[in-house]
Amino acid sequence: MPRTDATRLACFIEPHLGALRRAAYRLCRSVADAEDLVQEVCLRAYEKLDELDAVTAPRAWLLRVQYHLHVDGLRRAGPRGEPLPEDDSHEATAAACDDDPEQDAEGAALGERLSAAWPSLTPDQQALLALHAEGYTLAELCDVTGLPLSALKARLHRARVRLGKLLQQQAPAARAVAAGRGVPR
Amino acid sequence: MNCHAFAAALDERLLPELPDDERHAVLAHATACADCGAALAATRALAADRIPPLHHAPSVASIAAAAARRQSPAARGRRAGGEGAASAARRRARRAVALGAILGVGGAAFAAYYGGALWERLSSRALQGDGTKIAAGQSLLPAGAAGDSSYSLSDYVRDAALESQSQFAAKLVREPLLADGDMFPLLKVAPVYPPEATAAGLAGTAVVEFTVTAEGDTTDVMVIEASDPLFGPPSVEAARRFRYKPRVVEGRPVAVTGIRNRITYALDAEQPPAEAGAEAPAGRDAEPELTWLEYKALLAPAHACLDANDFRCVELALDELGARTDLDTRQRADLANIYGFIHHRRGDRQRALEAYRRAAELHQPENGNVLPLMIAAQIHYEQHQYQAALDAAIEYLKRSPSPSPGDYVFVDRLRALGAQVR
Repeated sequence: MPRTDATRLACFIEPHLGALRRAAYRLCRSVADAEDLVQEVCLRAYEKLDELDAVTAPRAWLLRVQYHLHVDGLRRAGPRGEPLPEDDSHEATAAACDDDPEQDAEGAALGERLSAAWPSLTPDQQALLALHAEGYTLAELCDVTGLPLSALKARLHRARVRLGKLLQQQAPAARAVAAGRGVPR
Repeated sequence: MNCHAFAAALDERLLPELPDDERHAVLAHATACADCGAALAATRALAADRIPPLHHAPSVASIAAAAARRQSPAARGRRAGGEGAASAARRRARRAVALGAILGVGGAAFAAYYGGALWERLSSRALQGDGTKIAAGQSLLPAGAAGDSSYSLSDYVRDAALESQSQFAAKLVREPLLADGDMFPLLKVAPVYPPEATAAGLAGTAVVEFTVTAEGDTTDVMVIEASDPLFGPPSVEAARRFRYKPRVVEGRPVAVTGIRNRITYALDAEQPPAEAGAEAPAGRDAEPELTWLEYKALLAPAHACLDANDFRCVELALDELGARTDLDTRQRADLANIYGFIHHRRGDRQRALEAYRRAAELHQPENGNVLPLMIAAQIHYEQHQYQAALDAAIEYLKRSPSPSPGDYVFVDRLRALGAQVR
């Protein structure tokens, strides 16, 4: 491997590695799986090394690869079983930086609910919700997913509704929604 | 507010930036629509979801080691799903090793970056979702809505007014002060053709001169020349009702004197239509009076016409209702408010203003709706009639039980534009 290739790859990926890792975590909801996913993205980038110079928007390119890997990977995997507890040493320190134990507990409970609901979403829905929650705009999401804006908006809304209902099912004591009124259209 | 607008607000992450009243309008929709309520819950959960500190990621060398560790049975099934765990782990290990080989020396920089400043930049960008908090059980429906069992045109108009008000306030905060520019006419009222002139078969012209104030009104109207004295008074009367966008210099509107306008009276010209007295006269006593629910039920035909976007049909239905003699003052005020809404929706600002003014006159403190005043203020503002807008806004603030911060921004803006609190 010529050193220049390593440098080229590093230069291409490095500035976006944090973004990739965060998005990957949101997609997989597991640090270990996120690591795997980012590794796979890096390998794909290496395979396409000759094409990287022509890429004008590296982050969008990398996220697009990650999106397709995630969607294709989950589609190939089919229905998944119960997630097992994590065993990676670097996860042990994951939540050790907060001073407020109450907030920690709340955050952990919310994370668990999200993680429990997550496998019931389609890979597409997971990806749209994850990337939108990561702060990407609709235009950026269109770029990453290749969906037209109107379809993207509709899918994103459906994904939110689906996730919201899954979360509500988990919380039977959820606040009752005022019913019986609506603005005519 | 509908589901489309609601989804757009979530899409664009607008919620945390909205003023309180507008956000309440958005949230009120979420309480009324189960799907949007679920969507909001999901957005909040995702926004509050905390990502573990990923900067603790291992170096490339330890990626390979971690991949090897994952051959342990505990990792089985985590991501591989239908794929055999051992083969998945082998695949991971191969990839990790390959990655380490690929990166070589570059891998050190790669790993060093994991803990770098990028994390901080990204984490500050993240979690921009909806951070809005509402107390559990807090009602987001407009005050008084809970008691009515049906959602009538009256409710619709009120909700639309609330929405319009909040959108207006939001826009106000964002838009810069007026851009400099010359004045131009917004409304030129046709004069009344003098009956004597019609009878005498008389045509002609009149030239009026006036000042366009900083509010866009006309003042000091005088006749400079008239082909016949008959044409003088109606020309002055018409010119007094002209409206202009005022001239703006350095962001402030200024008055312009000596504006002349020639008015032509020609017999073949179409006579201006008489003011349609659509609203029913108030104060007629009849009994028994309609109950509020009966009144709302009688609005149904007009509501159906509005759903069909047939404004003419709406007006006819409202006229029919307004002709009844058993409406009380509150119902007449409400009807006037609906007229205002319909006229405004059709773009007829003058009639909308008249109707809103009438609604405000009929307002009763105990059960009235003060929003017509604010909508009227907005219409004046749109026409650059800042003093009139401020007068209406102040009246609204005097009567409103719960003015919003946006209302005060509006008042400040009007004062900055030269209007004065009287």
